[in-house]
Amino acid sequence: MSEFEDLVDAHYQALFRFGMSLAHNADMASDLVQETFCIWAAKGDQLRDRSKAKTWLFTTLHREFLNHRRRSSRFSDEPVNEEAAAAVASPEEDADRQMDGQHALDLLSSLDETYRAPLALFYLQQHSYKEIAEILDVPIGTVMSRLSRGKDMLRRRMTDEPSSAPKNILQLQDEGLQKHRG
Amino acid sequence: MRLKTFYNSKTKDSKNTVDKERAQFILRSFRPDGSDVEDCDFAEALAMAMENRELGEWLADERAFDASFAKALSSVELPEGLRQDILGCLAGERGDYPQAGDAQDADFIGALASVQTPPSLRMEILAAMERSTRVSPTRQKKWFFHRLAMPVAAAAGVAFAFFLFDQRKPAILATSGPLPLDVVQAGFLRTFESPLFSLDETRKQHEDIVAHLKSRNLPCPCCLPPGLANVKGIGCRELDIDGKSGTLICFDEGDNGVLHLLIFRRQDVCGDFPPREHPVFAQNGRWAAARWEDHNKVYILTGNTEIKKLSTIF
Repeated sequence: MSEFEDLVDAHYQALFRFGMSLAHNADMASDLVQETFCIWAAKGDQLRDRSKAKTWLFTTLHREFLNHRRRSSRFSDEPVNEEAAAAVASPEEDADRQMDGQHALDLLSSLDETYRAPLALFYLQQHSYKEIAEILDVPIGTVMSRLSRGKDMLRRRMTDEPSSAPKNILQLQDEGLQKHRG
Repeated sequence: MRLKTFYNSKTKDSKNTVDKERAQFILRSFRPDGSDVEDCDFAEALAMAMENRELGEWLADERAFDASFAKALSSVELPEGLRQDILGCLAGERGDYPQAGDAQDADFIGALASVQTPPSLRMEILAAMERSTRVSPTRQKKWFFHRLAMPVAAAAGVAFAFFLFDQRKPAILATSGPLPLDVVQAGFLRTFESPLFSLDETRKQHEDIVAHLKSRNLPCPCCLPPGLANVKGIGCRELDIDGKSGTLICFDEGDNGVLHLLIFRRQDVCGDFPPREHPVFAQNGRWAAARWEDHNKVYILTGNTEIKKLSTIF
């Protein structure tokens, strides 16, 4: 088995799930994973420290996602996801709902990407918070802050705080969107 | 990160409260599977959670929630074929198709590339096939001949290429052992040069072709490359080369022409055949070929196409 095949086997599943968490679209997630490995094929030999390959791959996928989003107004103009938040935060259902993959993705997609990316990386458990900071190119403290706040939002989405939670959440999301639009 | 470095100036009570909040803040970055347990940056907060019951309970609850969410996320299903798509995409992007590395492969492809099908060949083949048919063809048979004309002509072109190749470099005589690849090529030539050439079965459905091959105890494709899965078959026949039974299957790729797949049992052919995931490709002129090994069988796939297009089949 080639070195490249080993690398694909080791990481493509987590990369796909990270892509799904970001894009919430299987086709786009697949494309992102393929593009990531193709970029590795072209530039990976420039990475001297091969132990950094995993972080490099996740960094590249995230960057590619941001590039796609910039190219597509579908992403940049996406409104704050109130409907999605309401849908996943249905109090009648959530109490007894078993968490499954789709539910997890729905919850993540209801958050602004500011929180979505670090939370997805955290829950994939492939990276420490320091590595997440490196992947997302933000300070360590920022990652910790986003994890903490993002988890709060997830919990609120999963419990019945339809009247109080969204206000705070929307403020944070607006903040995040403003940053992206800027 | 160290708690005491942040709050040295606080009073004891307020410091405890703030420390607890700070510990919670830190521990929220602690992965639920315990991957971070060796990270000294968590040590102080973890120690505090062990001493402080309220904080300990909060941590247990937090980790349970995190573990549940992580498990759910890890259960997100992957698209079927994603791995192969990645590897195929990479092969295309890198342009690093395994190239035929030996002289034999070069000859093989060179011969294919040199093929110039004589203008009259098609009609000669059709006429030969008509003569070789002992029973007058029915209406359906006539249709079959016309249907077969293109693949046979193409296949005969391949055979002609082998013939030219063999004139320059006679095949090594086969022994009772495994056949060298050039002997396979020479045998392939003889089959297609014969005026008695025909396909044993004309079937579009792969399962029908496989059923026929199994009934004849001929090498069957246990696993076709993904890109051939939905390509209609034309038919198949036995290749008997120096006592070794092989199979030829023709596939109709529509506007992309015909692909020819030769299959032999592994023990009947010697030489280097890579696994199916890494076929060896070669290109010369308009002809491309790939060969590989899978489940104790060897395969040669060729057609009038380009490596890039042929590689998408894998």
